[in-house]
Amino acid sequence: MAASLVNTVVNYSISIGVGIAGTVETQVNNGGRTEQDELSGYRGALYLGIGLSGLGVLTSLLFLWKMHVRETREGAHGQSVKA
Amino acid sequence: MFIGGAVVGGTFAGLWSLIWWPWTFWTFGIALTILAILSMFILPSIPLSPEVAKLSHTRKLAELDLPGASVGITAMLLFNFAWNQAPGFGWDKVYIYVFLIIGLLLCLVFFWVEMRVAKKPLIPFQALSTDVIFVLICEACGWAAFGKTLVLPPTCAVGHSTDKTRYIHLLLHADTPAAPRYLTTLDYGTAISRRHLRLYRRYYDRPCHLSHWSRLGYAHLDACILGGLHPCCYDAGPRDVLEASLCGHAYHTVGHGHEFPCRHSDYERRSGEEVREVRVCIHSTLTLYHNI
Repeated sequence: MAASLVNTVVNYSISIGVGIAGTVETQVNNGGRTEQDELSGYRGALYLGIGLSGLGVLTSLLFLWKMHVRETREGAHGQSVKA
Repeated sequence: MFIGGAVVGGTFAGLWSLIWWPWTFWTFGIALTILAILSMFILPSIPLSPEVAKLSHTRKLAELDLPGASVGITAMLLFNFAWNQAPGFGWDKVYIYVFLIIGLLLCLVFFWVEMRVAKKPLIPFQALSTDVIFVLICEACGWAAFGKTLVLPPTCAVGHSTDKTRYIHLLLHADTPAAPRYLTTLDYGTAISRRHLRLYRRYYDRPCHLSHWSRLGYAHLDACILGGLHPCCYDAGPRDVLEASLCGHAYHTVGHGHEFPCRHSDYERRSGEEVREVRVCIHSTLTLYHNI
């Protein structure tokens, strides 16, 4: 189950990422008539990518912090509660 | 295995498409059907636990959580369809936001089915620890950020990610917002770039050094030439296919590397003749694309 869940999340988030980036692009590029407009659309999509990556990093840091808290607590009890 | 499969698959898809381009996809379907049937006989069956093995077929079917699966898949499908259809056709289209809303509602139904109705839920939410959810969110963010690279280049851009694996994104889009974007991802080495080199020489009637090509490693469009593999080349004659595919190369020569939008300024630094050449290439490709 875990493998299929991971795979689903990977592929689905790629697809949704494309969709969201496409929406950002078309909302930002004023119809993309000039080169400058077109580029600002791509920039918007790239900024979205930066934001998403940042969110990923943030989540990992939170996770790290959570693990750290748990480990120190377990250390204090002198036993592992990990399942 | 992956790279080998990509080369063999790409080549055969290209060869079949010489007859008729949709064969690229039909043969893919046929090959997969054959593989699916073969796998029924070849793959060893999973050893079932005794209590599962004892169950009757109807019981097994009941354990599949078909309501959950169908609701969940439909929800994901509609949600995804709405998001990917909207950039091209606009959020103001009724069917798009209706699909989005139905998708979201079905998502709620899915959660309800999984938590309340199903005896053996497809995704046992109770079993998902916060650790797992953290990892999944992380993963989703990372891959979603990656996914957006697929929409980037405007006309024809080429990209490769690492020296081991090359992802070639060849996208074409017209100047209408409704134009669909096409993408192809091919994976292979420089082995067939010589062929492309010859074609380049013949077409442009000017030498092109192999070192240049192999350094770039852009053998990718050979596959297009082999059989009009790329959507932009559908039903195009050999010359047009070549033209369309050269577009990618020519584009690169004026500084459109894989880092395309960022290095767009390189475009300005090139000589007028080079730029003109590329413009002609792009124009013909787009014309070709429009005609299709």
